[in-house]
Amino acid sequence: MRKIVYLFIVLLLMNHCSKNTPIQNGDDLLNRNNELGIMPELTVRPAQMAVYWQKRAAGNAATLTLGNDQSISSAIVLQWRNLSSVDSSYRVDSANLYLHISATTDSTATMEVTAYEVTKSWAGSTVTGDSLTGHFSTTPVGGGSFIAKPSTYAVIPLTDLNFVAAWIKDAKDLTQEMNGLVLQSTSQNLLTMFSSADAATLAPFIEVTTRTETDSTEIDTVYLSDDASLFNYSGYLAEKTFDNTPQTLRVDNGAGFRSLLYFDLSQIPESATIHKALLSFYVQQDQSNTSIDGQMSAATLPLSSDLPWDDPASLVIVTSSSPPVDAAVAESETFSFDTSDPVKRVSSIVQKWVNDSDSNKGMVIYAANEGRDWQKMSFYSGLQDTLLAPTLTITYSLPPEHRFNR
Amino acid sequence: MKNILSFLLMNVVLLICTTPSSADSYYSSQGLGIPSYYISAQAVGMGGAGIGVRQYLALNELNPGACDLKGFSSVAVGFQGEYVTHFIGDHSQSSISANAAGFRFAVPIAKQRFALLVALKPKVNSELSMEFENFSDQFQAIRTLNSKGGLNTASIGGNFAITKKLAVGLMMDFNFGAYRETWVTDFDDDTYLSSSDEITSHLWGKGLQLGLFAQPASFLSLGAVLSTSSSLKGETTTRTKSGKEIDPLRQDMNYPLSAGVGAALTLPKFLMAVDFYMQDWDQFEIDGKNAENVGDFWRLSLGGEYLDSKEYLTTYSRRIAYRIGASYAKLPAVDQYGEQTAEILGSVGFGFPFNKNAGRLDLAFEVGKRSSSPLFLYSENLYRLSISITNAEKWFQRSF
Repeated sequence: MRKIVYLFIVLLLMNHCSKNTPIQNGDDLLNRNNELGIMPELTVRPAQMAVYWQKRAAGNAATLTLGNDQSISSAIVLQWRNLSSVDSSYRVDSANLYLHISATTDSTATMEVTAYEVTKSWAGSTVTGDSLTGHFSTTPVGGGSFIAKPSTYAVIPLTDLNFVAAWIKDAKDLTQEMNGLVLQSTSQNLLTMFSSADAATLAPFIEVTTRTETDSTEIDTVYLSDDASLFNYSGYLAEKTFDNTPQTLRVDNGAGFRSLLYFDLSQIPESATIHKALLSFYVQQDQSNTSIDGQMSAATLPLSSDLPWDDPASLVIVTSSSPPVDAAVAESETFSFDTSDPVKRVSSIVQKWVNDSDSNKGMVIYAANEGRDWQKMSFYSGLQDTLLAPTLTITYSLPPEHRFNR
Repeated sequence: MKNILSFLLMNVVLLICTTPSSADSYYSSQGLGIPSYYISAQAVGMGGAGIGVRQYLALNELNPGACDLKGFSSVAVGFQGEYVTHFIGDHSQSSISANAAGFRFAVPIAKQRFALLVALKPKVNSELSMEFENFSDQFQAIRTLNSKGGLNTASIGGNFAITKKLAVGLMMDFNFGAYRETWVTDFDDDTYLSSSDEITSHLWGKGLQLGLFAQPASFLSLGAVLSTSSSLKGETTTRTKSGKEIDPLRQDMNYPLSAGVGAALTLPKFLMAVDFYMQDWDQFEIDGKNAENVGDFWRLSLGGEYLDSKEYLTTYSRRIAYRIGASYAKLPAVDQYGEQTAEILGSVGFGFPFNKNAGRLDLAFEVGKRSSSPLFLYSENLYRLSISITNAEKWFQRSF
């Protein structure tokens, strides 16, 4: 009996040594429906589209944007809670704000800047232009002009030294009654980008010169404790309003434009496996701008709120997985989520829609670096020319017919 | 008791671990696969012939009427390893596999007139790996099918010796099996997601085997077997990589009737046997419709054995059995040109007794070819090693 058991075990082990090299040219031999499985590529155009914009908190960006350009404008709010390092018993002789210029729309233009006191507390992570409307002093506390040349510092004198002294005392006494500055530019068609307090290097600072009791001078350099850009859009579309027949689908870093797309995928069977879903757009080059970095990052995520889209407040974006992000270039004719990882992520989104058609509520296309700068991408919606409409090109397969399906 | 526990343990492991299958064969893709024709490793060495052979230490897997235990409880386990060379056009490749071929347990009861028989064996085997290429302007995709499965039967029944020269056997079969197919699609472009669809079919049903053994003369024995046509229930589930499960498909099938006859000529030192066996696969139906590309299975087997002496006191070399045989069969698979697959095999075998002739190790080696129409671009060369151990012991004996 023992011998049989031993042999049995040895042969079971042999069984695991099986080697099966697939027989080639299977399609010449086997006759099953869907044995090749991959269906002809399917191109779907959006059944619904919409565009809207909304002011978004920009305080976590590594940049600050100041200026105006056509329909977009931005102010900057700044706060120093660490002015306590300056001796408040000394007389303030001067105070200059230094901002490092990293990009501009015109490097030879002169930018005029005025600084006002902010009269309401704020936090960079949440502040928008709406939350501070009407909470700026009307009397300037400083200002000046500079050539907007990248890689140089813009120096903005703070001329109201009493304000600076009060600010230093506030920091010393921890009363937190001073809420910082807002910088506004009166220069037209000029936008300038600076490094922010969140940047790894070249963060803004204030240089305060004080005179001691012995009439000697001391210079203190103090870095920002918080900052934010306050973007605003003043174009054709009111904030938080859907344009459901957009000529242009827009995403941008500054104004907070987002575009919504819904593709009807009901013609794909629920059992399909999505191998690739390529989301592509035709770029409206004259309304796109990626001059700062040469490209901007666009992202997309599915929506879970019901159609029709009529209220941005009720729009629910599914953020449970990382969004597909790809680089868009203003000068290109097309933009697609076509590099390996983004296209796979879009494919996964489409796979969920196909498996559960009720979950298909559309998708949002948005800028991955909202609040960073004024770069924007505009795409044809295809309402005027359907050939220019966005497309979702899907490669899918169906399970093969099983061997007993006769 | 130790033997009984070992036996039970082995039985359980067999049930859990063994899946009937053979090495890859395209011919196993049609119908339920390739019928497993296995009587014993002794018979394999004789071209598979053995329906009319009733021998001690040769437990007959096919004919429950042919059972000679000599008062000993006997157990036999068999395994087969296959090496198959596949020819597809001018290209060839190979596959290898080893699996259980059968298990049988027999206990004599009631003064050796009746024997209890328990068996587990594969009835139909299917194993196949195949590639499908798909080209487009954007990608090259390869879809690979890995298919493995088959139908087993677990049987219980008995052998009743009406006289010393006439015996009948009856076995109740519980047929069960699973066919698992995995279809994997891979792309040469990493922007495409691969996929894996799994299709699993479970089959089950009941059947009946009848066997007859007669010895009209001391040198001549005859055997006949009949397995009734039986219904099979089937349930197929398809699951895609995304987790989407398609509603199970329930089907009714019939496992076709089979019958065979055999004769054996027993002379001093020589045994010769011939079998004819057929199964009505032409009547294989799924949900009342005849399955496509399936024809009747039949097999003609012929072989002989030379054994110099059965006396365990003689020299060992004289106790070794030498066997040779050949078979020709038509397999159920029908090719695209309507021609049924032919299988021709030649075999040699050896029987090595041990433990004072209380057990025997049987080895058999077969070489053969499977092919159909010359126009069909596929054929196979087959090399198969069969191993079986049979052991006989006094179990369940009264000690007073």
